[in-house]
Amino acid sequence: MTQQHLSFPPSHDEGARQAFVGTIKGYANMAVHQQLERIYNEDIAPSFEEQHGRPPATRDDVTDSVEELPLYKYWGLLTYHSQDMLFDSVATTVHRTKVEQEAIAEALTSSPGKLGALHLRDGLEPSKPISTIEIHRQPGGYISAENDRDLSAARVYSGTIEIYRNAKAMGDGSKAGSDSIGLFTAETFKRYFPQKQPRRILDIGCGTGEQTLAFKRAFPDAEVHGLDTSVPFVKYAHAWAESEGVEVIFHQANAQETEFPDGHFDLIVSHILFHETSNKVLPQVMAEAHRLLTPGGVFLNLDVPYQPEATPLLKQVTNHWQVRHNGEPFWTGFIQTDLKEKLAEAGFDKDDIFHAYEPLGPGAFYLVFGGEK
Amino acid sequence: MTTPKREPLHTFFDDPTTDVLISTILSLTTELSVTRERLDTLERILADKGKLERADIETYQPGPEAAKERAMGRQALLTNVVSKMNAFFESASRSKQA
Repeated sequence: MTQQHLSFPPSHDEGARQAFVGTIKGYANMAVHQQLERIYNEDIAPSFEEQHGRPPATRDDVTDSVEELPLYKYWGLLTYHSQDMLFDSVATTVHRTKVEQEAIAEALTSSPGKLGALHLRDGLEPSKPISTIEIHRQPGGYISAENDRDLSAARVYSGTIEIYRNAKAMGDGSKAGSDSIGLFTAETFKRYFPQKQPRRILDIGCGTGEQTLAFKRAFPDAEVHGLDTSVPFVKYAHAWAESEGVEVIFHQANAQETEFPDGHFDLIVSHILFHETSNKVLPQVMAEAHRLLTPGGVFLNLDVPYQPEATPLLKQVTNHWQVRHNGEPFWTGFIQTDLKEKLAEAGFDKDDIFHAYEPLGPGAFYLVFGGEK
Repeated sequence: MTTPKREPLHTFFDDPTTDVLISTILSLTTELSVTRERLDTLERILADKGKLERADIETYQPGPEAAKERAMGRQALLTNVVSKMNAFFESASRSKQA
């Protein structure tokens, strides 16, 4: 039998529908948001200054004035409804191809010649807020599964993420299955630490695994592991790695409490993980990463770049909208967290902590933060 | 095991009818875009091969030039449909501040 590959294969019309949802999202994120910026700059900020004798300084100064704008309500509806349309249009492809794709996943992961492995921990409760909230409003969230074979939550996530990123100018035009964010993190690591050759790498909150594969590709001699709290995600990640012919070991685990021994990894990475944690879990994950690193090991994370000092006030208001209307309970909490302080509390030496905005491509920036043990 | 709860539908305008109507317009425009793209596919296959087989539609992959034209078509369609709403909400927002 010829080797079969996992794929996200929209029909002609499904692909056209997904493309138009991307167009609507792009319109809300770009054109309408720019209109809001103009109204903010020309009307709201000057009128605040006139009333208070100083320019607005915090999000709270302007939230009420922005939220009453009819254009802001329109922007909110566009963003909210297009999110439903995104999930509907991708879920159509996922459900139509469910039987065939799950059979391929089963064949790949039960093959005696498979490269990697999957370790599940029966009875492990998934971490909050993944266990309680439909993150990004994905129906059923990241952990729901009808049965042991059901990979729909993972396939929907994987099918939507690049459409979402590209429409928000946070991507580089990649299609589903791309490992470009992971490659970007790996390249950033090489640039920051050109002398280091990690032998064992862990990707925490690895999700559907695409980005984890980038580390085996960038460091072919390293042993690469990925962990995530979601069972369907790590199952899919394992199948995806086998489909791509990349050797990775995946684990069902919570990043704040793993079963690895002390000093087990030279490099620990994460991609857009921390803004999906909480005030409680964030320091626990950092402390666990510090425990797992070898002396000289590196903890390197990529996340959203919307910290208040780097973000105009209007954008802070529209970002905070995500908390209330887009299943992002910790979005504002994360960007207000003093990450350097938290890294120091987790055990990283102040002089070995880094925190920088790095360009992914034209117009797209991410926050890169972490430390060397 | 706990599973995430579905939240009730959020609405943004004072009268939720506005939310429903705009959502419906967006969904309808999406379906029009799908039909247009299918028509574009048919025309391109016919222009290229002079005949049409159903399977060709599903496997059709636009080249870079065609993909660009189709993306511009989607953009133009949406702009046409939303232009009145967009201008209305901008002007209503300006007068709120005046």
